Amino acid sequence: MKDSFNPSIEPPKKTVTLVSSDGYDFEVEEEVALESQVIKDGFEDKAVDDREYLLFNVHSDTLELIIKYCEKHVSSRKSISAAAASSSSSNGEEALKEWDEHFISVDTNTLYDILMAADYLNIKSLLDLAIQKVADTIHGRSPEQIRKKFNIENDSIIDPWASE
Amino acid sequence: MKNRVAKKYKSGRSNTKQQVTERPLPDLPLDIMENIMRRLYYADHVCALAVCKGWRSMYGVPPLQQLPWLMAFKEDSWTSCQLFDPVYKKTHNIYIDDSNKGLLKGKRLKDIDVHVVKMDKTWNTRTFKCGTRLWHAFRNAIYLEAIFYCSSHIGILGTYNVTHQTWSVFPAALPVAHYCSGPYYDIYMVESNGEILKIYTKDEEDGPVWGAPQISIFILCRLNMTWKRMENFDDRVLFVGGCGASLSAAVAGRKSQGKLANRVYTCSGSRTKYFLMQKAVFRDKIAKRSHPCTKFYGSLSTENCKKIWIQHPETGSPPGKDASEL
Repeated sequence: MKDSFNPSIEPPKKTVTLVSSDGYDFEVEEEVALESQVIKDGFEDKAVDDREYLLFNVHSDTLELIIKYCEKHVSSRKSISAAAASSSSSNGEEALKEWDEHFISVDTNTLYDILMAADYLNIKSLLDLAIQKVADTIHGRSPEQIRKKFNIENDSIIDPWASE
Repeated sequence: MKNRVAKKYKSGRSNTKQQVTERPLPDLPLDIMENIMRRLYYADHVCALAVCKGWRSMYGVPPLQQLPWLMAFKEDSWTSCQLFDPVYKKTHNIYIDDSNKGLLKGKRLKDIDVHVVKMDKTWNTRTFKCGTRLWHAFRNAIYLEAIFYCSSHIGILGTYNVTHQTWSVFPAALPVAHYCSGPYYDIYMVESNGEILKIYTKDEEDGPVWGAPQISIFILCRLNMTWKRMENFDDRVLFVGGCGASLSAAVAGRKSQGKLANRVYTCSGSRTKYFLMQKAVFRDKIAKRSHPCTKFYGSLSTENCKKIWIQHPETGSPPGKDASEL
C-alpha cells in the first residue's frame, strides 16, 4: 500500500550510530537521533561519515527504550500531520498520549535511568513525561509510602511529620 | 520494512548485561528535582519534603497552584479548625496551642496597626491609626503597590501609603449606593490582576431586595479613587469570604479548572456557593441566582462555623523549625 504511493525512487535513509556505555552500537535513522537536542546541536558540522555518538552515560537497556520512544514519536508526528493535511479525522494525539503513558509505566530503577538519559540527551518531551511520572507517583502518598516506593532511606533523625 | 531500524550488536567492549544496583533517586540533579517539586500540590509537596534530607532542601521551590482551601472554625474558638483540600476532598483537623497569647497579635507598621480582633462574637480585621486614635472597622484590607486599601462595611475606603506614611479616607462614592449599602449585602474587596475589585453579594435567604441584583462588582479607578461597574470578567475566578480573606485565581489554560472561569465563589452562608458571571449577566446587570457548589467544596458541611478561603504559601517552609522563627 505504502509502496504504491512512494515508488522506489526514495533515497536510502541516512543513519547515525549511537554507542551505549556498555559498548553496544545502535544504528538509527537520522531523524530519530535528532530528537535529542544534544545530537541536533552541531549535527551539521559533523562529517557525514563520522556520525557516531558515544553515550557514556546511557546503558544499552535504557538506550533501547529511548530509541523506541523517539521512533514512535517521529512516526506519530508524521501520521498526525498527514492526517491533518488530508483533513481526515485522526485520534493520533490521543493514541500517542496513551502510548506514552504505557511506555513510562516502568519500575523505579528504569524510570530513574530514563530520567537521567533524557536529561543527558536533552529530549524535552521524554524528560517531561518522566518527571510527570515521578510527580504522579508522589501524589497522594505519605512520606513513608514515598520512601518505600522509591527505595529511599529515611536519613532524618527526627521526622517532623511523624504522627504524635 | 519489517526489520527494526535499531540494530544491536556487540562491539567488543565491556558487556554488563544488566544494571542491578539500586538507583540513587534521592540524588537526582537539582534541576530535575526542582521540576518534580513544582508539579506537586501543596499536600504532596509537604510530604515530599519529609522524605529525606536531600528532598527537604527543596522547600524554596513553589508547589503547584491549586484552588484555595477552605478553612472552617467555630465563632468562639481559635484553638481548633478544619482545613478542606479540594484536590483530595480531604478535611484536615488542626489544633492550635493557644497558651502562647502572642499568636494573634497584629502587624505593626510605623503609623498603622492592622489587628484581627474579636467583636461581638465575630472576628474582624481592624485598622488603627495610632497618632490620632482614629480607627475604622475595616472588614477588608488589601496591600497593593505599597498601599493598604481598606474598606468599611458601609463602603468607606481608607488607604495607607506605606512609603509616605499617609492615611486617607474616601467616601463611599458608589453609583448604586442606595441599595448596595443596605443591610442585606455582604461587601468584599479583592485584588485581581492588579485591579482592586469590590463585590456586593446578597444571600437569597435574607429575603428579596426589590430590583436589586444578587451580585454587583465594581473596579476601583485608582487615579481618582472612584468605583465603576465592572463590564468584563475576563475568565477570572474570585473567592470571596470573611475576615478580609478574598482571593483571585487565574484559571486560563488549565484544562481541569477551565470550568471555573467567570465564577465568584462565596463561603459566607452555611454552604459554599458560586455566582456565574456570564456576559449576559453584565448586560442585564443581574445574576439570577447563586448555585451551591457541590463539585469542589461540597464535602465540608460544618454547621455553625465561620469559613474563609486560604491559599497555600508561595514557597514551603523549612520543616522542623519553630513557626515563630519564620
